[in-house]
Amino acid sequence: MTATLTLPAYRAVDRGLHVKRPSQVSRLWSKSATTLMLLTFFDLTVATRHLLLGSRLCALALVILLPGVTIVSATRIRLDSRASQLALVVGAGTFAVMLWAAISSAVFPPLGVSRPLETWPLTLAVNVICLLAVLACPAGTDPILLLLDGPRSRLTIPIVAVGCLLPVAGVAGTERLNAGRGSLVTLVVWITVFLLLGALLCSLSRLTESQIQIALFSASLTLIYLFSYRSNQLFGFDIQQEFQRFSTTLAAGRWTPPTNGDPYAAMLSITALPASLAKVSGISGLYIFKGVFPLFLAWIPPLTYGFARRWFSPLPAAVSAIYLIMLAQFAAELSGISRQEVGLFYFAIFLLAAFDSHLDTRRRTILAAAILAALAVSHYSTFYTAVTLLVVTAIAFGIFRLALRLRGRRRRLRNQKGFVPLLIIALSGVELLLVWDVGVTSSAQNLASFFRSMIDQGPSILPDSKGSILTRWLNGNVNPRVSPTSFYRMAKQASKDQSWLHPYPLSLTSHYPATAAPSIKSTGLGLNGVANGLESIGTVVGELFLVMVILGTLVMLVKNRRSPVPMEVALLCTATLLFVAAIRISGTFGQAYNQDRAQIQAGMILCVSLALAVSWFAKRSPRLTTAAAVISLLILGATVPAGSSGLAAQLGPGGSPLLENGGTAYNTDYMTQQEVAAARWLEKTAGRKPLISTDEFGELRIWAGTTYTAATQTLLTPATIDQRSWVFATGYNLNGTAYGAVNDDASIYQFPIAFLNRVKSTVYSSPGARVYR
Amino acid sequence: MVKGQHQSVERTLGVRRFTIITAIAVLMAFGIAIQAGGKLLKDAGVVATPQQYMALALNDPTSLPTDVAPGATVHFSFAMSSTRTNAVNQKWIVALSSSASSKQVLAQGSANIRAGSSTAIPVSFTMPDLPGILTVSISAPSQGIAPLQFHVTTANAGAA
Repeated sequence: MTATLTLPAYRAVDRGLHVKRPSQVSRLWSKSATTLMLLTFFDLTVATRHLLLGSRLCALALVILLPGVTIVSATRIRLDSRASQLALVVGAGTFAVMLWAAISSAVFPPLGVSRPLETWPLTLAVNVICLLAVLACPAGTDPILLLLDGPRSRLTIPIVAVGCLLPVAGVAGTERLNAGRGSLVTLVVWITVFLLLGALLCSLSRLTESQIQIALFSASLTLIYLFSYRSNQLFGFDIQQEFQRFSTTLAAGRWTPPTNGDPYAAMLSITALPASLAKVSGISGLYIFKGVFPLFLAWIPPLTYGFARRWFSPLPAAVSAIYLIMLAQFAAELSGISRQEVGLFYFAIFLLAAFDSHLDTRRRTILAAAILAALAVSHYSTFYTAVTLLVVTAIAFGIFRLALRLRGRRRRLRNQKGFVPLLIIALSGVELLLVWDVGVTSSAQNLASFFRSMIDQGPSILPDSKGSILTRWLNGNVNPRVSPTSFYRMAKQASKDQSWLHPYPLSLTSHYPATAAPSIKSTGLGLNGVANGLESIGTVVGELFLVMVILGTLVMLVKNRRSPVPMEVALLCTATLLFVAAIRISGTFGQAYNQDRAQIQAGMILCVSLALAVSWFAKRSPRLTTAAAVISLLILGATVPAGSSGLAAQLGPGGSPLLENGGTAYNTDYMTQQEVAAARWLEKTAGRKPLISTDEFGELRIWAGTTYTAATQTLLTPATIDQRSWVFATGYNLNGTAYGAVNDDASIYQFPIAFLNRVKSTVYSSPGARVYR
Repeated sequence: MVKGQHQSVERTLGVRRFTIITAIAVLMAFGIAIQAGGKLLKDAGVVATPQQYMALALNDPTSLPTDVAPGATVHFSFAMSSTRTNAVNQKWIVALSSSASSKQVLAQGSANIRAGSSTAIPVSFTMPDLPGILTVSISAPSQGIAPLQFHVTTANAGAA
């Protein structure tokens, strides 16, 4: 699509009409007026951010959108839909902020500006970037008004209104549950989201592309917020470490490449970006992580829809996008991994840009390489996977073209044009990896350890699963749970490598043997049979979708001439499917990249395969296909989200972190202010580099509340606690439960409170946390 | 014709400018509504509210006495902190116990803790002549807090 709106005087001149040619000043004014007004407003909001929450929200929106819209307009790139274009704008703005933060952190301190990531240096930089970009914009177009280009529909306003209200209602429901006021609102919102998605599938023909994408965005964001707004702190595992790295950058006022190869500190997405956003907008880092990062993740289903829509009708494309939302890990897991939220967002834009046949080859190649650069600084695993898939696809495409040439299929060969750009993009990915991960941040240790494991132990097929082949396939690389006694034994064995450890004597510790943890309270309905039945149906439906993906990929590859999908995309889907299979069955791959998260990244590509399979059914019986899609996706929605703690699980034993303040996920991921306050007290009191012992998830509370980056000792058993150590006890520890793991063998056992009371002093105590010394 | 086209484009541009202004106004209004309705929204439980609790902490946990002769004076201090939104007058008790003797109150008192702050309380007591390993506990009754405690050994320990 090309720009359709030109300012009046230019349109008249273009058509050869006799109107007065605008002066230089008026030409400049016509393209920069809205930008200048919004920049002034932006500066005003930054100045008043301490007074008004509205100012903070506007500053936050403008700091991303203004640089993004002007830069994209200056590059004269238009993607094939409004949602894609808006995503590109957000991506460009975010990348500009990250890049500026990195460059200014390197350049300005030697020039005397020691803290370039402070409010006013950043605000000034945003103004300068926008002004320079707007000068480079094509004459006669207003970059901001151009973004709103496109057809309008009466339905848009109500859809936008519902789309905004639903996530707000989700947050309100979650906060009510946090305050102990029950889960009714959350449950209603959750059911509304599923009904909305069902209704969306039934009314696709009456909606525009943008409206469909708004509905998908809103549904995704609502589900993500139900998780991310749990607890007054951050909810999840990795996000605690990410927040710690952010806090360090914010306190330093600049980003510095890690000297110890720490991959978290190397990622601008969780260090320089949130620090810049927090400084400019005045919104606390906690809410940047809780509220802003989910916006990136929520883009993925609508962008995936846009990707599949390139070749298929709305129904198959929408089914593919909704399937992604329904995957257990989408909202539940990724809401706690901010770096991947940003990384996957860039990966989604990358797919749209790299395979956009409307863009000319040169522009497409440069744009794709630029997006890969943004991905490289945002998240290493997503980037490594993207580069690997691109390289494999480029090689496979080269071989395919060679085969066509050798077999003399010149006509078909002429249709396969995408090889050179694909190869250049793949090579630029490799180059970026070397420059950023190896050269600038020296943070490629994950990649290096993957190659080492591959050389030492090979692919290591299904090393941890037990049972029949079917069970092993269904479970994938899931580690078994060990008994408390075994855990105590394994912990003691593992501690033999810790030569610095001063344990308590055996004569003392032997009086405190391992015991099972008390049963965890939860408020499930106890209909275990119904819950198990629903979960089994959910598993079968999930596997059926997987079969459709496999069949779709095979058909796309083998019958490519009859498929609308170009060969390079078919090969990318095949490479992705093989990658998913490798992650699922290989211990070495599984250790390198969590299979759940890999599945989401793969799903963004394999949506094309699924859409192909769904379109086969849809062509034969559209109504039946719609009905089957609605029912199966609702089943998935009820059973799969949050894994064992979805809606169906609440019918049985309970323990859904979304619907009750209890259960295992609540224990492990829900952090209280009391725990964080205790961790802060511990850091403040214990001096430099204290030895801290806690259980596996107590570590999260330390990360959340402090800048303590040394490894905490998580083998919390009487025989492995050091005599000199501080022991941090969480709220669930005080209720008797502790979690531990040795070499990925996890255990739940009774917190050794009697032992600690006997050998240590209680030096801090609140109703929900304790510290021993 | 030219004039008509011109007006049509101007109208389209006007609609787009209006869209931008509306979006900004909605965002500002949303922020103002949350700020203005803070108490109402907190009462409804739909915005985050800080937990209200009290905590006890030893002020210098690394230099607690470990070996004390009977009759010697023991000094230490602890802090009571509160995140409550109102001032609290809180009672505290320092007691001594051992496996061989019943609990003995060494010192007690009450402290006024202002909203969201903490109060340091110095304690000193004379070590009674009791055998064995003794446990000094510091408690703040009726707050649901487990007492702070540390162990001391008297010179009589071997006689137990």
